[in-house]
Amino acid sequence: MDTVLRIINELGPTIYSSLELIGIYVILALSLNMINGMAGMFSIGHAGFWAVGAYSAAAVTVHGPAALGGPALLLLSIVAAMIAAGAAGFILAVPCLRLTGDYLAIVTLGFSIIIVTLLYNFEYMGAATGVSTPILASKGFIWFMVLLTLIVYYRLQYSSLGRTIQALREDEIAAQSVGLNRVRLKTTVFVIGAAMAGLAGALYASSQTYLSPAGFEFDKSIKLLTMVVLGGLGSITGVAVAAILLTLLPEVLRLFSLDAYQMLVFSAMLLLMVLMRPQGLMGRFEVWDLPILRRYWRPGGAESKA
Amino acid sequence: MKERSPALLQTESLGIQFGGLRAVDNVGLRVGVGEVVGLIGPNGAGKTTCFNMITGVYKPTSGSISLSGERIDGLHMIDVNHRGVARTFQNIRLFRKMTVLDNVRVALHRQVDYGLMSSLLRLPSFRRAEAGLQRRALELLSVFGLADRSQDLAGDLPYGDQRKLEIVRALATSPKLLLLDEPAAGMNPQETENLTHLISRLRQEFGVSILLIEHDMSLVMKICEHIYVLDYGREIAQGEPNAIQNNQQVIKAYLGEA
Repeated sequence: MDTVLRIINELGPTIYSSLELIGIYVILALSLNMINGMAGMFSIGHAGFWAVGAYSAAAVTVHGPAALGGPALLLLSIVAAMIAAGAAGFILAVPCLRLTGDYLAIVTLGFSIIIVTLLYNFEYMGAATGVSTPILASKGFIWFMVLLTLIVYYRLQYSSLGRTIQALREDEIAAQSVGLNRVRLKTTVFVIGAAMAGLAGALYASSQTYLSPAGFEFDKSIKLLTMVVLGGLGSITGVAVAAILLTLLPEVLRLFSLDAYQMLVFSAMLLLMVLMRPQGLMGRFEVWDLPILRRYWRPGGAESKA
Repeated sequence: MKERSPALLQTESLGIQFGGLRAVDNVGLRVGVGEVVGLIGPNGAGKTTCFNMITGVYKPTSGSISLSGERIDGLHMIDVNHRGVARTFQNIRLFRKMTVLDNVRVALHRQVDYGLMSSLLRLPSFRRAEAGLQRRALELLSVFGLADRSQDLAGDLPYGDQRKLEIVRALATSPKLLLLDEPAAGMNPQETENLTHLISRLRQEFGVSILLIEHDMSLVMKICEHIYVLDYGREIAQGEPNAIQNNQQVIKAYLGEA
């Protein structure tokens, strides 16, 4: 009984203190979902874009003109992070688009490993020791960005871009036979997804006191992939919920003093999920697909009353 | 023989080789402006392979393809479509998990004139364009009697309707030339009758020329002005429906030696 009470008492503060990280992971998981779920490109090196974003942002907040003041520096770092990660995405997209399936996965994996290795040797940003970063982003600001990301994602999905990329994912031959430009569409989505991960990187850099390359290793890419698979490839709401749950999971395990078993629980969950519900918690279902909401909420904006 | 209208599509000594197999050899097809032309022949004669070469899925290894006098052989599928050629597939290739409406809206993508920013901010240009797409898509669907199924998933439609939806999707790209690969396959006589009527309407209302592969001879004989017959990748006959029906070589190819 005591344990239960203690946990109920501590759960609130635990959630509160993890709010920054939860928000950042929601953005990250959504950005990966855009590449994996929406465009159907199997990328397993997503932490690479996150790292590019975080370090570009930190370069601005640590070495940039402090005279600008916190808020301006924060915004500048976000812009820098998104441009840098987006550019990395573009450079990677060019060779990647010739590849599918396993090959694409290997290239993205290689990319993330190269990025981390470069950071380990990048003296300007502290190399392996890492770099101390000023805290500029509040919980409120981070969640405002989460909201903004959700809106952007939602609106892209229910625009011509979202429709055409879905068609391309379903049948590339048929999609091209109606004139859809495969390379341009996939590049666009890949770059937007990478830039979004860059945004998460900037928020991470400005909400932690310290950045080190070890924080962007391969396990982080796998964690993101788990969120996307758990939530349901392609589902905005499913992936957001999965990101929240999986970020909280280690904190909750800590309350039970079970944090040593974290990876065990993680793997067991993934296994169970793949065996029992391979489409993820939500599949491609969205909150606004509920019949009650469907009557008032038409994602397409101009959809018929049928 | 009736005078034929000027050529929209013309292939000259078209051929393709897969390893040691000459799948199509020396085929010269011609589709005049406003014509409905049939391409028939036994299974494996190379009809769909011809379609795949015309639409840029395969690159021919010999010969040429021109559309309104301009060479289109070797162009990418996307560019072939942009030049005004659209097609359906023998083994239906709809976007099955998308709605009927979205299948058509996807194909109308070149009518989209808003950019990324406009869709993010949902500017008036976005709403106007989306409303226009919607209207146009429903218009096209209603020609084929599919408008009231616009919200169903394409994969849930009955077989015959899926074939029709493929035609609508192809039409949505405003083609000059429409290639139909066995449009009546799997349809019952009633549905085929209905389809025959629709195809004739297409030519009048949309001004498209049509090249079609079909095994249902009642349909082919009723609507085609000109017919080409392939066998083992070679053209064995061409002419008006009556002439083809009585051509000994064609009968032999279909029924075997007597």
